[in-house]
Amino acid sequence: MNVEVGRNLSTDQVWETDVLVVGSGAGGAIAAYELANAGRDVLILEEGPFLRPKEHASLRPTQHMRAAWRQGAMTAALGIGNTPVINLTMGRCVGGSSALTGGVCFRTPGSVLKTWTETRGLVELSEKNLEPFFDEIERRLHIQPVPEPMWSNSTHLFGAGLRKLGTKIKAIQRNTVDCSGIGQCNFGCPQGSKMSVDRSVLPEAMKRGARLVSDCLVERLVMEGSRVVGARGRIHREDRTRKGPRFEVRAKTVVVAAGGVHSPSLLQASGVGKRSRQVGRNLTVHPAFRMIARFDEPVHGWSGSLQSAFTDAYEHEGVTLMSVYVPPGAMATGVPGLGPEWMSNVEKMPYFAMFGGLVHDEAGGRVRKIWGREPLVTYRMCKGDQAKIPAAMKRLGETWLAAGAQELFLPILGHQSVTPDQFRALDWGSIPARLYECSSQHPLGTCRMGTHSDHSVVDGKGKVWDMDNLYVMDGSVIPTSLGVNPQETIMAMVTRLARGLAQDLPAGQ
Amino acid sequence: MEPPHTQPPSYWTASDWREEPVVPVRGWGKHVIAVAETMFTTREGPPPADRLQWLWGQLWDFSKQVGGLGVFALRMSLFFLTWIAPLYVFRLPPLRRLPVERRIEAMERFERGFMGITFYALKAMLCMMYFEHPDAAREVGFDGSSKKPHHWVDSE
Repeated sequence: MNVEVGRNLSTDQVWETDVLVVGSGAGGAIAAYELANAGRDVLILEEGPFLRPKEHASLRPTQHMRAAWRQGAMTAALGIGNTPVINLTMGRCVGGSSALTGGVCFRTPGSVLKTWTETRGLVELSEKNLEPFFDEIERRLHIQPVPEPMWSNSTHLFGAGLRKLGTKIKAIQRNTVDCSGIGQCNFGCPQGSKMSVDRSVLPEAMKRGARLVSDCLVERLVMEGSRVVGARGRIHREDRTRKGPRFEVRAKTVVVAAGGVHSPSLLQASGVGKRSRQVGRNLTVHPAFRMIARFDEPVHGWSGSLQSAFTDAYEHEGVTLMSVYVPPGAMATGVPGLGPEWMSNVEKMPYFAMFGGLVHDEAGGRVRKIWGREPLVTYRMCKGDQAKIPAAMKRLGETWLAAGAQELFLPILGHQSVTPDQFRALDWGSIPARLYECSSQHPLGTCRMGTHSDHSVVDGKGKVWDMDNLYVMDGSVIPTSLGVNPQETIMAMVTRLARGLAQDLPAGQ
Repeated sequence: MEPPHTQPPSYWTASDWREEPVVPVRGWGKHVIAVAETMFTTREGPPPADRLQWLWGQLWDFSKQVGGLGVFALRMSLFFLTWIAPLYVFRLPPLRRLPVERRIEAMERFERGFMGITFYALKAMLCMMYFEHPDAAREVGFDGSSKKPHHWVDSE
């Protein structure tokens, strides 16, 4: 893939194109591919660097976080009221977050699509209408279930616990080819097995004439009345402490695909959406929690696929439980305390297993542009969602105990580990939601799609309501929380939107 | 087939840590070392000085590469720990002037207290980095062998 490496450019740049795509993640890559496939001249600008599989392979997890994760993974949504601080991790590299995910792919649940069509009036997003797009994405990205031999021991143990409780564990579907389950997905696949968009979609887009420049931060869109005529920004240098050269793009159409946090931030910085005041609102994140269990026998949970199985048996409680494993250092963080006693607990790591749960949340967050590059993200968890956290904890804990765990490390700040009896006697009502250790990888909904500008940012075609030629095509247009990993939904929706845009663009563009 | 790397493959640990440039411990580095020494002290005593020095080098590199809000969060976390945690055991700050046993007590109380969340960012980052040191990883039973790719891709 012939990416133009922005940090190698030493002078100011001016580019011209028909369609500028801001961002090269799941949304931007698909949009660029579809538009290039329709014969449009497409320029993709990506803020982060370009890393090849061999470069992913040479980086340790924290080196990878420095190179390819936004703010070194230190980004957070600040909890308001009885809400935990949520560590909100996002990709900042060619391929965006798709290069850092576990490769997990789910179709949008039917119940969610029903809400979109029946309650929100988005009839074009029906299950029937989207099915061909899901089929196509699944074929193109080789989405397939993770075979059981590739599951980690940690996942097998949790599955055994679920079976004892009369519940089934199911294989997760992932976008992989020739995967050997070494479990490095979150730090870029060194084998190139994960079909993240930098491996699967962007090379195809570039074969069709799209250009991609890395290390280019778009700071602002250039407006003329209700039209966007281009964008301005700065090129990152390798040494982030020195300012790089500037660039300007002249474009006839702009597609913003910078993700659920940075798409609204860019629109706000450019003065878009002031009338409806909806830009940046309605953020959903799928708050996620992990629980560590200690067993008497070694588990060595780091061997095998990081994410391989899940259960939707508790969907009616608003919770999906999903397998996950993390590097030793991140595992140690989940053990409360410090010093000699803590270290002796941490040294039992080979005996640790881990499983996670994510909450199907209401829209409780907001993104606000403040000074500097990074926006302020806040999140207020509604009472209903607060109640889902102990529900997830109980399900995780009960399953681990059924599997034979001897000790549980709860993701509660300052809380010591508990024995099985102590877990059963816990008063969950007395633990405030704000004390839970919470993370998220799915910021969605901040430029949501709708049928009227009073309650949405884009129309059914992805066009920003008060603009003529500005589109948003990424997770931020998703109208409500999904309850499952969003990358397949984003890709299917953007395929549909981008094909519509390609048809609508006047000839010659 | 071995990879066509210019750098060695990682397998999640820093096998080449001795070859990394040593970053002098200055300014906030002294406070970072004091916190790390406290966190990673075992019943046998504090971790080797060269490991802590390497850890500081990692954090320094992180601050240089990431900058902005990420580093601000870490620095604030360290600031609260250095200047407020000692008050939890009725001692005057900074934290690094206290003996290790006192520091452990102060940081434990701080973590359990209402400001505990502010410690989390620094604890997470120091833990992630510390257990990438091959000796530290080995001490918790991790050797990285399961992370070795079965095949390599050298395509564009």
